[in-house]
Amino acid sequence: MIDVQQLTKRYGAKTAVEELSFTVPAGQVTGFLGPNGAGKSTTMRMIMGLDRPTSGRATIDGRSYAEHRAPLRAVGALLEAKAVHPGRSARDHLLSLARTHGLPRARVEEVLHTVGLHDVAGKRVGAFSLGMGQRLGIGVALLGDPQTIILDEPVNGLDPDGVLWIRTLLRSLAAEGRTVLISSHLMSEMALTAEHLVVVGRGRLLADTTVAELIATATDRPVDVVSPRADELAHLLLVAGASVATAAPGRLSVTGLDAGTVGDLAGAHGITLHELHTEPASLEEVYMTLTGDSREYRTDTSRQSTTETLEQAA
Amino acid sequence: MSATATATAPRTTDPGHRADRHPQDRSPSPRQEEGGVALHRVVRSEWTKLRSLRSTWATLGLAALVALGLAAAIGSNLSSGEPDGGFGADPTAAVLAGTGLAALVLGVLGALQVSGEYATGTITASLTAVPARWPVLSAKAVVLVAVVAPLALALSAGSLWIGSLVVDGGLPFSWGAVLGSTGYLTAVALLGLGTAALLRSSAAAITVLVALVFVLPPLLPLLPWGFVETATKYFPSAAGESLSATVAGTAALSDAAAAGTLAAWALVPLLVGGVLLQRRDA
Repeated sequence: MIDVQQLTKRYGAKTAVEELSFTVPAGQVTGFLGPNGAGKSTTMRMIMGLDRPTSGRATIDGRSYAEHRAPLRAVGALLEAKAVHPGRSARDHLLSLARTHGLPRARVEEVLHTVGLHDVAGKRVGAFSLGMGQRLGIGVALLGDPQTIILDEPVNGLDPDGVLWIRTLLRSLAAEGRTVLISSHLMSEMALTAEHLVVVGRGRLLADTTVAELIATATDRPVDVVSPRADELAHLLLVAGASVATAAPGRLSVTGLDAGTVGDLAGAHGITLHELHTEPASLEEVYMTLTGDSREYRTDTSRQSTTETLEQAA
Repeated sequence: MSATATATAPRTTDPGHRADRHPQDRSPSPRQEEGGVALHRVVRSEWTKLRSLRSTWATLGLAALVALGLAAAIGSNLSSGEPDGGFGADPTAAVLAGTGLAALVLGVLGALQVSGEYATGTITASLTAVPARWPVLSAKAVVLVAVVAPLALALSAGSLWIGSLVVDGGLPFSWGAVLGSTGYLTAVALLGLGTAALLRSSAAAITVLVALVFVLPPLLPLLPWGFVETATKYFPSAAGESLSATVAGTAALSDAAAAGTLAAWALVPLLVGGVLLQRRDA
């Protein structure tokens, strides 16, 4: 289990991570999610003892990273893609790290097979593609057969086969009871891989939840209504305070009222409904709403709502 | 999954029951005990890193070529017992001049051992594997000395041997000169390592190394201040020349002072670099 308590990192006046607290339980894949620049990598580097926190503490299975006698056996990490000397072979890179813990040469060969680099293990890493470099980095993380695995943007640069491979690998590692923390700025990827989500923006915790709970937090979802008397219903709904958009002839998209209220209103006026349902939130939408204020760079075109324009027309 | 349940159980129970916690909950698993980080293992790791780069062998080859090639070229132009000022006064020192250039090559090798890791990002993996950090730099120094010192000894002795063949009238073999030159080469290699540990960038470290070893010593005496001239005697190259001098009166420092000076150039940047490595963010 990873336990992050009140972790803060400041660089001069800029605060990269602010009083961040969360725990990553064993036995499931936890997604560490946030826009670029949200402090994910800095947090991971502090967990791994590479950067010193300004204040706060991070422990892995009860000890700080540096307190582990055999850190590679306790925690495996991929923090930077292709952070290997280009003149060294994949095998020698793994071997040099294995040596620090007295891990046998056979373990290096095993890991090379696991990550699918055995055939190119003797080649200089400089000739590797981004995906191969990523596989080598994952090999480094797995080298000590660790209880905890921390991967920063593991699917970056992987082809679809590789993405599928890493997803399966992470799930099986979690199923073995290990602690798995992976970061991403892509909600869509996390939705497929992670069960538990820690969402950060501008160095602060935005959500510490499960995928299902996060979707459930979405409020004010549009209600989709189909009625032969749509125009009449639209008028009633506007009077009741809702915003109404005509999605197609006879089909309304209603916000500001829930599906039950819309149905009751239609029933009270004897208007027949052919369809009535609440549009489910996509994880991506929830994520965008959650992190909307904390993205460093964004375009301003996304927030043009059709409701507004229709309201003006009405 | 059962291991997970035991590990997380104490967190979920009432804090009042903490005293009941089984003692084995706190002890690390046997799997973690069997192979920890140890200095001798880090030394093997650093040897693996050094030997697995072609540039290492190219650098060592270049150092040999420069030292022995210059010894042959310079020596063939000399004859002993014909003092004409300059190097002619000390043909042994003249023949060893090539090792002075080899020193720079070996200093670059030492610098790249650290700055190459920062440039490529390997440092992250290294410090993750050895979070105590100081063993990484110590092991690099051990491996560097183990590789450079024997080579330096061979090149120094080899230069004199070549000198004895090509210098007109022969050249007496001097163990003092050989050991002095060996010490100088090894010290400059360590100076490169220490400088890189301080500066972390290859370009910065190599620039400083070249300045200290080659550029500043002939430049400083031209400055109008007396203390600068004294300081020049304590630069690595001056100390190295003192140590390997064979003609009485040509040494600016006593052997002990020269050896101490070289040791300081070799170790002080390394120690300060080690302290900074501990303190800085990786």
